[in-house]
Formats: sequence, structure tokens, C-alpha cells
Amino acid sequence: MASSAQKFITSSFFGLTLIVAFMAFLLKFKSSQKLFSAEELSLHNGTDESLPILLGILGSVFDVTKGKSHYGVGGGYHHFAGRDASRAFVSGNFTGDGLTDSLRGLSSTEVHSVVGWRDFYFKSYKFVGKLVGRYYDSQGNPTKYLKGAEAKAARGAQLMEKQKEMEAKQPSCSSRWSQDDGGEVWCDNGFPRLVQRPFEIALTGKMSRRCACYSEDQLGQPGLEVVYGFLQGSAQGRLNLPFIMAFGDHSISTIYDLGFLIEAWCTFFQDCRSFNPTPTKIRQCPMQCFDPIPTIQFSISVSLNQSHSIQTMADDDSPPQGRQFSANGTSIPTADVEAKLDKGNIQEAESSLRERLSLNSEEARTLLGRLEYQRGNVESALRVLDGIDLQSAIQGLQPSVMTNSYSNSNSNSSSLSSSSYDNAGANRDSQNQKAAKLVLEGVYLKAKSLQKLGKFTEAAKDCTSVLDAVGKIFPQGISDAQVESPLQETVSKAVELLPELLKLAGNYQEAMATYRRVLLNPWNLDNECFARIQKAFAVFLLHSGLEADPPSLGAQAEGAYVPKNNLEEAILLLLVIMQKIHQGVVQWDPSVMDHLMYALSLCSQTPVLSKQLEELKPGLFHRTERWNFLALCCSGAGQNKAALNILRKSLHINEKPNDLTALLLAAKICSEDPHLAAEGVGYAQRAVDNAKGVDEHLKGACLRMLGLCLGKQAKVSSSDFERSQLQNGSLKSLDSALSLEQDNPDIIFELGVHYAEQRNLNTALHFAKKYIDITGGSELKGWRLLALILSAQQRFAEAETVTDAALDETGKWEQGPLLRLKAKLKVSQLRPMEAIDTYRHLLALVQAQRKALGPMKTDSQVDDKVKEFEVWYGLATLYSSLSHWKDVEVCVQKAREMKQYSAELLHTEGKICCMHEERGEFQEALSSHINAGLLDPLFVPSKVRIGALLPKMGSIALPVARTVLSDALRIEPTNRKAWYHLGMVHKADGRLAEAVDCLQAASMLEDSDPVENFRSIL
Amino acid sequence: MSSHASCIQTLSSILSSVPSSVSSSSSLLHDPTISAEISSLLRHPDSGSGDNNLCRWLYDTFHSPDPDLKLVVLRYVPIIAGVYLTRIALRKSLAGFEAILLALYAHETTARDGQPVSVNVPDLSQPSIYHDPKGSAKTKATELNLAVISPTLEPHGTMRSSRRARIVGVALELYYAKISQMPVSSKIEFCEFCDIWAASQKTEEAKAKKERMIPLPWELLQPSLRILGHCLLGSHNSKELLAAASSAKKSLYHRSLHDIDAKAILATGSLLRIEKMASDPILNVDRTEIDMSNVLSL
Repeated sequence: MASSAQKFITSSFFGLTLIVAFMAFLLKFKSSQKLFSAEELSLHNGTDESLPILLGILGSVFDVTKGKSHYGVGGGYHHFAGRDASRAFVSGNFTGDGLTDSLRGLSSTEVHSVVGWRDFYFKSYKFVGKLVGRYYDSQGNPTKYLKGAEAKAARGAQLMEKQKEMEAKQPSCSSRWSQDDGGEVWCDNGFPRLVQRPFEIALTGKMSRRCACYSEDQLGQPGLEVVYGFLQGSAQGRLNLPFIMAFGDHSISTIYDLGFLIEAWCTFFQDCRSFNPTPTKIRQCPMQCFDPIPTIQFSISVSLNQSHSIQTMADDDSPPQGRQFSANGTSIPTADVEAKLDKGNIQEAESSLRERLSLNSEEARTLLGRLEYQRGNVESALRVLDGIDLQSAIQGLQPSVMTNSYSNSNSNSSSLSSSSYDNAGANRDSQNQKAAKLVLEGVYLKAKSLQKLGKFTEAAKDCTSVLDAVGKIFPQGISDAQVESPLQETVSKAVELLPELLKLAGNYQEAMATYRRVLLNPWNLDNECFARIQKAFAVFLLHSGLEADPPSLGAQAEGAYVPKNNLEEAILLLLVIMQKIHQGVVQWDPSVMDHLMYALSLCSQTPVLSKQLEELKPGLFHRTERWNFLALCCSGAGQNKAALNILRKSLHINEKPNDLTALLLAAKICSEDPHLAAEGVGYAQRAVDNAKGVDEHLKGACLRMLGLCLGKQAKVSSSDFERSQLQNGSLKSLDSALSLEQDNPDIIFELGVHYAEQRNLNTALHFAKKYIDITGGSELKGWRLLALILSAQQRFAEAETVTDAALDETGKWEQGPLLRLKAKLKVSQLRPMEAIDTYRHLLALVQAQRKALGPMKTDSQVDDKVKEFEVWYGLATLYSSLSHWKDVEVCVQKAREMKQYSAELLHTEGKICCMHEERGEFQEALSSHINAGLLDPLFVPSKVRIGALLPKMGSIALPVARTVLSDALRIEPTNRKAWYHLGMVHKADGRLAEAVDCLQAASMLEDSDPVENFRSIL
Repeated sequence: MSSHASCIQTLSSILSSVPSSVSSSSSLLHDPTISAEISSLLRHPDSGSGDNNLCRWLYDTFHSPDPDLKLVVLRYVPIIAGVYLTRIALRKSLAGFEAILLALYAHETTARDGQPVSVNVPDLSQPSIYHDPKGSAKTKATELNLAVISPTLEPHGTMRSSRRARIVGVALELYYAKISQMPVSSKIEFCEFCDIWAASQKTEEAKAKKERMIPLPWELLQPSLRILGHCLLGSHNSKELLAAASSAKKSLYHRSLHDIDAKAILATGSLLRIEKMASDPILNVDRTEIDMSNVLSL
């Protein structure tokens, strides 16, 4: 009883437990599993903050509110919220039609990947219900679509498993990646090779490769490619889900690093420029740490530099084992025939071969010839081949073919051309081709043998006869349908070999003609072969130094572009090959790009080169390398701003921040603009730090750039202390650069300018003289610097002599700046009439120049020409100093025609007003100067005039005057007038000590003003 | 007396000996003993002055109507240009060299009427003899990029120092135009001077010789790079020339990095990579080789 009661209790307890569990389950089910309609789900897309954010995948709905930053408005995965966009998880298409739940047409691995995503959401987020629609019916039961998808996914998994198993037999390459060295692949045992994945096509419909390790004896296997691309990569960027998912379909393989993903991203979107690494703090980690991604799988091949396949060839050194003849269904070893040949018994060898393989004489001879060639006995091969009368064999071939083509041409008109006739024709055709193949192979073999013996002319003759024969047999040229592959192979090889032989024979004119004959006629060559010949011809055109006639117009289609000389033809050919590479018709060949780079940079056509680089598929060059090339192209075309923008990317801390060439180029560009100089200092400093080892020889160049950037930075520094520090730094760098390269003219010149600006005129003079010596006076700027320094020393007559000497050394079109200088020197020597004469001379030159060179802007030296405006302005200034106000107005009028709004002109007008001050035009003068300042905030003379005029308005204006003058001195610290007026302002304000300082500065500078600003030379 | 006979006669008064075998212009161009002696005379520290006999001979020979004799003069352009440019800073009279260079310049100026030499860089949207763009065969005006590879020439009667690089550059252009007829020794001399001009990595030896960097503006560098391209990749099989060219190319590459000259970096860098690729056996499989498989079948 007790036991039964006990039993009851136990069982009822058990039952109760069951019921509770069941109810709990039911409750849970009821509360968490809900059926959603599409409309309902769409409300939960994160726009309504009060609702949870829901996401559907394969009909399952998840609450992803905890990932609000990703799924909410503005998040990277916002597209997925409030809908079932199953397809987008693998298609990467997040717009319009792409955001669908249909998986139609996806491969089994892709479907597997979507199911994988669903599992991920099950693991990471709360499952809240089902979406009624494609995958669940109104009862919440799975539809056939869901079952179908899951079954397909399972098949995908199976295949992948199988592939994994296969791949496990061949170990994968190891890889690593580090910030500094980029990535690399290696094998602990064996050699890394890229290999096609066997199941990939079945799985994804796409090809992909993996990197696996092969032992030395396996390397002969077909289909292996050398990995000599680099695996450089770096990790950065905020990668968000859509991007990564675009690669969800790529299978297996290890995750390497984010750099790879970026490369892959580039491949996928075909556009790397839109990808800008953001300088924000980035996590470097395997993909798993990017919520909410489970595993990201994609094939490594996307980031490998494409490599060339190697032909597997028998090794010449190892004794050929088991070489055998095979014909008419019989195979025999070659050993005893070899023995006969070694004894010189060619006849015997031939007859033995004929007998045993039932061959005719030509067939046997060809086989023997090949055997001897393979064995390296080329002379013997020639003897064997001489036994066949190849010429007559070729002759014998033609008539039958001729009749054949004759009957073919008749068949159009004849209604009797029955199919049996065609068959017979085709049969005979095939017979002919067999014979033709044999004969041509024999001749080709002869040509190769002669080549090996160094008898290039004879070899070329044989090779020509192969092509001539083909030309006779197929007068219409060959097309795919006509020719069987063995014959085509011989033809292709002969076509490729002939021009090489002619070059080796020194018969360049003939080689040139042959290249054209080969390229302009249809030989039915495959794309790779054709591109190789095109490249070889382009190289020949570029470098042979042979000026051949341009190709004749003869048979060419009308309107087609015909190059006029070698260089044009070479560039055209290279561009055509590049186009084929872009289209994926031929394999990437880096040397084509290099030849093009050489040709286009010699023509200064770097923008065309940029275009080619931009069109190149990502992954062919490492991206930093490509950026650096692009930057060089931009800089070569004078587009320095663009170049710098690109360099900023490639020098980013996560890319290659220590690339010396890029650093130097960036520093150089920055050194030309005061507002970029501070950035340039950073680059230059880094360059200096990295100029060691093999790059030690660039140390001087790096230091020079550092000096230049520091000097430029000093110009815009607002604090006196900082400025003098920068100037000292600049001087120090330039000095150490000079100590490394004692006769580098650039450094000598720059030091000269530096000292001149510091008014250390004697030292400056020394450098200027040295510069002219070392350059032999070939640089205009050297002469100008010398003349200006002399003028600053008030040695005007000497300065003029120097200017005259310089004029003698200069072509007339470059004389503008010198004449302007001369005119100013005349003014300083108080010879205004001579100055006016010089200005007239200059004006005539400038006007002639405008007429002569106006439309043609080919010469790069046009840049530093004097503008007509400057001449009129100079004359205006000159007349104003003579108080010829009428003339001043005429000149100003003329100048205004050239340049309507100009600070200089307003300044001159202000001066005119000033002269008429007594007539009450004081206000007008001031407003002219203020306008000038507004037009050009760096225009110092107007600021000085304002500073001079303002105190006349009474003491209330003194603080303003002081500010304006200080500003002028910031821009031009050596402006004597500014110091003088500042001194006067201080005096008027009663600050006598300051006034004394300023006036002292003014008096010190008094005798050291050059007639033109030193900066004008740079 | 024919022009070349008188020419050889004058030469024999300058050189220690002229072999009797030298009777034609061609043998004058290729005879190694003569070119060796002329070369060493041109390199002599006192060569190149206005009254130098050899310079006068070269000047006169260039003005002879025989085109083959012009080639003989062009053969020495590398040495003349090389020695001349390295001596500029020494402030010596180099009027002899200058006369020859100016004669070459004047010849080219007349030959092309001072006009620039330009090259069209085609736009592939238009069909050409080597390709036919499918689809978009519209007859819009062809867009050609006109690239000037040698700008307008203005006549110069004297060597103005600011035009020096251009004048020497034009002499090099002239040399390049006939380079396929130049003997290898002449090209090697050119490569050696490229090395000296670039002076990129100073060796102790160079320092001892007081060799200094020669300014290499584009007008000088561009024709030099074309010549160098020929020496590296033109069809010849002189190992010695190849070695000299390879060294020159490296020096010029370092120099263009040093000068931060973008175009020069691109051009020399591409030569550097091309040479590297050319020496890689994997990339240079001979596709014309016959099938080497062990089974010999028909």
C-alpha cells in the first residue's frame, strides 16, 4: 500500500512535472512565437523607437534591438530591419530588387551560407516568431520552399565537406600578416602554389583558387601557379556587414585579415577609389569580432597578385626515362632507335621505325627529327630532316587543296553540291591537313634546330617557308573551322618565332615587315599568343632605334587610325593589349604596363597612364603601389594637389607610411605651399628617419625637403618665437644636406635664398655665385638671385651688369623676368628714362610672345613669363614716382584691361589719391588701400599704406594702425616701411621704447632691400 | 679629291696613325683603333678648346655632304656631350665642343624647320589598324592627345648657357635617330657618361675624380632615356653594352628619386622592372619550343 501510494505520489509528481513542463513550453511558445505578416514586420524597422527592431531570414523573425547601432536608422545593416531580405545576405545587393527573400538561382553554397546566417541569428539574437509568406504558411508550418532551401543547403554542406577533405590531403599554405611587413604566405614543407579548387564550379558556378603546399616532385603537376604575388594587406576601415556579406558565397579557406577583405572589396566593386580608409581608431581582429558576423569566408585568391602559369616541361638535365614512339596504335621504346642514330645509321633507324610502326618515310623522319631535337642532338636532327624533300612535299600539297577550294567556291552556284560531296571534301581536307601538319612540323623543327646552332638567317628562311606554305594552302587566311589544332600549333609557333629569328639574324627591316604581316593578317592565333607578338613588336618599335616607314594604308579599312611613326605604333599596340587585359581577354602581364609607362612618360602623357592604371582590375598591383604610381602620374602632369591627395592615402599609417619615394614626393609638393608646409615637415622628417641602408643615398634629398618645408612653414607662422625656431631648423637641415652633397646646386641655391631673406647678404652672395659657377649659368634664377642680392647691397651698377650678362645667356623668350629686373634697377639708379625704355622693350617682348605662343602651350617654361599686366603696373609705379599722373592713369587703365580686380592697381590708385590729399581725397585713398587688402589679404604694400594713413585720423585710429602694420610684418618681416610706420605709431601713442626698437629695425633694413622680393625667384 | 679622302687625310695629320685599311666612311666609323684614339683625344684634359684640331676636324666632317661622314661625327656625340657637360663648372674654354654641338643643333633646326616633333596618343574608341572597337563605331571626331616629344627649335648662333641643356639634348636626339647604325663602343661610352652625370651614389673613385652631379633637366634626360632604352632593350647581343646600360639605368633611377622628378621616376623605374622581369626564367618561357613530352607521336 505504502509502496503503491508511494508509487502514486511519485507518478503523479512525475505527471505534474510533465504537465508543468508542457504548460511552460506552451506558454513560452505562445509568448515568443508569433506569426507576423509582412506589413506588421515592416513596422519594426527601427524608425519607431518604441517598437523592437525585427529582422527576418528564411521566414524566421528575430529581435535584433540589442544591435541597434547596426540595425537601427543609420546603421550599416539597416536594410535588413523590418523585412526578410534573405537573398541580400549573399548577393550583396542591398537596393530595390536585391532586398528580397527569394533564393531562386542561388548556388547550393550560397543557400548554405544563408542557412548559416539564420543559425547565427538563432545563436546571437532572440527568436520571436515566423513570417507568413514564402517560408511559412498561415499556420506557421514550413512551406516546400523552406524545405527545398534546407535540402539544397545540406547538399552544399556535403560538397564543401568533400572539398575540405580533398584539400586536407594537400596542406594549405601558411600565412601571416603584420602591420609593418604586410602579409606573406609560405610553406613549412614544399612550395606554395595556387591551384584551382575542384568542386568550386559545381558549388558556386565560379572558379576560385587556393594556396596549397606542394613537394618538389609534385611541382610538375599541371594547373599549378606560382604564388609570387605578395600578400600585403593592412587592416583598417569600418567594415560593415553589407560589404562583408558580399563575400559570403566564397567558401572555406582561412580568414587572413581585413586587408584582404579590402582587396576583395575592391575586386567586387571594381572601384577602389570610392573606398576611403577612415583615420578613426580601428580594431584589428579576425572577422568574428565584428558583430554580428559568424564567420566570414572567402577565397584568398581575390587578393593574390595574379601570377603566370608555368609550363611544365621535361627537365633537360635528367635522363629521359621511358621515352617512346607512338603511332597507329602501337608504342615502342626509343632506346634501340637511339642507339642506331648514335652510330650514325639514319637509314637503318628510319627503316626500323617504318617497319614497326607502319609509317611512311616522311612520318618516320619527322619522328626521328623530333627525337634527336629532344635529345639535344640538333645537328643530327638536321641530317635526319634533310632526308625529306620538304619543299617538294609542300609543292605536292597545294594542287589538291587548290581543287578543293575551287570546288568549294563552285558549290555556291551548283545546286548539285550534295552532302556526300561535302563529306568527301572534308575527308580529303583532313587528309591534306595531316600531311600538311607533318611537313610543316618538319620544316619548323629544322628552323628550331638551325636556331640552336646559331644559324639564324637559315632558320628564318625555313620559318618563312612554313608561313608561305600556309599562305598558299589557305589563301583566304585560316579560321578556326578550317584547321585542326596540331597544325594550328605549328603555325602559331612559326608566326611567333619568325620575327625573333630575323632580329637575331640582324635583319631588322625584314623583322619589322614580318611583325606587321603577322599582326595584320589572320593566322587564327589564340589571344595570348597574339598579345605576346604585339608586345614583342611594340618593344621592338620602342627600342630598336630603327626608323621604319609607317605601315601602309593599303588594305586597311577606311577611317581607321594609322600610326605615323614607331613611337605612335608602339603606344597604340600597348594600349590595345592593355584594353584586352582590361576586358579579361588576355592575362595580365605587368611588363606591358611597364613598357607603356616608359613610352608615355617619355611623351609626358602621364594622364593617359593614370587612366590605364585606374582601369586596371584591383589586385594586380598592390593598392599602395598603384596609388604611388597614380601620384607620380598626377605630379608628372603638374597636378600636384591631386597627387598629394593620393599620397595621403598611401602614406596613411595603416598603409605604407614609410615608403621613401612617396614621402619625398609628398614633402616636395607640400614644400611649395606655405599652408601645406607643416604637413610636409611630417613627411620629410619621416623620410629622413627612413633614409638608411640601401636608401642612404637619398638622405641629402630628404634633409633638403625638410629644410624647404620648415622654411615655408616659417612664412605662415604667427608667432615670432616659432618662426625663428622654424627658420633655424630649416637652416640646419639645409646645412646638413649640403654637407652630404657638397655640390648639389639645388641646395646651394636654396641656402642662398634663405640667407638673402634673412638679410645675411654676404653669405647669400657667396652661395649665389657658387650656384652660377656650378650650373655654368644655365639657370635663370641663379642670375636673378645674384642681381637681387647685389641690389639689396645697393650695388645697383653691378646688379645691372649681372643682369646684362644673364640676358646674353638667355634665349629671347625667357628674357622677360630679367628685363623687368633691369627696369627696376634703372629706377633704383634714378635713371627713369632708361627704365621706361627697358619697359618698352619688355612690353614688345611680352606682346610678341602672346601672339607667337598664345595658342600653343607646349613649352613647360612658359610658366615663369612676365605678364603684360605686370609691365603696365611697373610703368604706372614708375610714372607715379615721377609724378606724371596723366601717364599713370593711362598705364593703370591699360593694366586694368588685363586684370580687372587687382590689389596692386588699387594700391597705385590709392597712392594717386594720396598725392592729391590736399584735395580732400584722403578717404578715397584709404578705401582704395582697404579694397586692395580685401582682394589680396597677403598684399603688404597696401597694409603699410593703411598703417601710414590711419594715424592722420587722430589717436583713435592708432590701435588699428598698429594691428595692420603688425600684420604686414608678419607676412613680410623685412619690410622696412612697415617697421618705420609702426615706429611712428608707437611714438604717437607715447611708447617711446618700442618706437626706438622699430625705427632701429627700419634703419637696419634701410640698406638691404632688394628691388624685387627674393621670394619672386622661387 | 672626294670628301672622305680629304677627310681621312686631315685626320691622319691629327692622329698618330691612320691604318691604310681605313678607306671608306664605313670603316672610319667602325675601325676600333681610330675610334679609340679619337675618344682618348676627346677625353684629354685640354681637349675641346676653340683651336683644337680634332674639334675642327669633327666640325668640318659634319659639314661634308657625305651622309656617312655625318655618321662618323655622330658616333662621338656621347663623348663630346659627356665631356662637355662635366667640364662646364670648370670654367674652361670649350668653344671647340660648343661649335660641334651647335652645328648639330643647327642641322636639326634646319632639317625640321624649327618645328616641334609630336606624337599622337590614340584614343581606342576609334578603330585603328590594330583593333576595331565593336559597337561604338561612331564617326565622332577622333580625340588624339598630341604629345610634344621635342619642342620648337629656335636658332642659336652661340651657346647661351640657359639653352645649353636643350642644345646638347638635340644633339642626343640626332644621335638617337641614327642609333641603329652606331657601333656598340659608342653606346657603351654613352652609358658610362650617364653614370657619371647621374652621380647618384658617389663612390670613392668618383670623389677622387671630382665628378659632380650634372643638372639633368627633362630636355636632356628625355633623349638620354630613349638612348638608354635602346641600349637595354634594343636587339643586340653585346653583354658589355648590356652591363653598362644596366648600371646607367640604375644610376639614373636613383638620381630621379633624388631629384624627385616624377616623370623620370616613372620612366627609369619601368626600365628597372622590365629588366628584372626579363631576367626571371619563369616569366620567359620560350613558347616557340617544340613539345618535349616523352611520347613521340604523329
